[in-house]
Amino acid sequence: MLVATSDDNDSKRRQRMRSLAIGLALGALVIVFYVATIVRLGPNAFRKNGFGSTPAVTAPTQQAPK
Amino acid sequence: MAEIGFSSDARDRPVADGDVGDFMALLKPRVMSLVVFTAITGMVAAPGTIHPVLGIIALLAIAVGAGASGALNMWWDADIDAVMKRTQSRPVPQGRITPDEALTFGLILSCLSILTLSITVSWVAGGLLAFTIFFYVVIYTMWLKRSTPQNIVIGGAAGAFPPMIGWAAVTGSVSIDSVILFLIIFMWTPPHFWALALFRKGDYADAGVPMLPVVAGNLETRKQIVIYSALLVPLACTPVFTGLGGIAYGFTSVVLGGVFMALAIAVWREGEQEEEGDATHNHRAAKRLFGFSLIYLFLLFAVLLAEHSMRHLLA
Repeated sequence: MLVATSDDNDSKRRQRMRSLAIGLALGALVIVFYVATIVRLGPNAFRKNGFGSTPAVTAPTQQAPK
Repeated sequence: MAEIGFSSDARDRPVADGDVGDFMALLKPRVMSLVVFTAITGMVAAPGTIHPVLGIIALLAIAVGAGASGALNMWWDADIDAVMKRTQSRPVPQGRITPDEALTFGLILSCLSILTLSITVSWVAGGLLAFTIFFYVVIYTMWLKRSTPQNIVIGGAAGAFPPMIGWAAVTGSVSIDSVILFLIIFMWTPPHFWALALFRKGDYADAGVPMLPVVAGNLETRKQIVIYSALLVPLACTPVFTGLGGIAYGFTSVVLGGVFMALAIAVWREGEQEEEGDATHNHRAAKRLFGFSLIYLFLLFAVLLAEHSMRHLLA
């Protein structure tokens, strides 16, 4: 029967901490890129209709026959 | 059933099982803090403004980039570090982290920091950070450090880039003022490290690193310290003439420069004592210069930072 020694437990704890640190670092990287994108785009990032206040393509208006 | 898992090669590779603190030690936190401080000064002193969030991201990327180059330095220099008393307790020579782990860690952080700075803040700043890492790891660590007593003269450029990167993060360019900040650190590096090398000469000799005292002797090193100090002190006053530094900076650079010069001359005089066969000095003057040089650089940049912060607040 295999018995887990204190060295094994210690090693597993260090491995868990390393995995946690990598996870936190990757999470932080995602947040950094997200926040940087919002900051660079400015208020436009939150406009539902895309960039700018006017639609990009406007329907041609019909001119009344003279 | 096909075996799924590591190849035998990967299985045989040693895993040192270091903890998070060991990986943090690879980043050389003390060097990192000086890099961040000088980069902040470059950012604040630069004309123009940067969004605070982008400023923090830039500093973070510069810090991680500096740490990554520290990790790559520890990977390459593990053999030297194991011999020198000052570096024996580092994670790689202690066997807590394998050289492969240090290399991978350094490379990943280098790529991430350069990409983050380039994409989110400025391509010029990102390019400068990439060049700094390359210069420190390849030009200084791999080439100059073991081959010439001028190693820290040329290699000092790597430590001098951070204020220029900070400046470029704000302006997107390099200007004469940012070059002056670069030159101050560049000229400060030789007297700082040669003072250290004078009282750590045995360590460097044991490790086979051709530092100036090991190759050219103590007397020549003391002479070179005085020469570089005499170049540094007036150079540190030039920001006053370009408008980068104000009255407080001018006063600080003159007073501290005078003290720096006096300590450098004391190091030289210690050499005369040494020539007469008196070794009781125990490198007191060199230790004093080494300690003061850290305060000198910190105060110069702190005053510059304070002056420009005031200008921003009053604008």
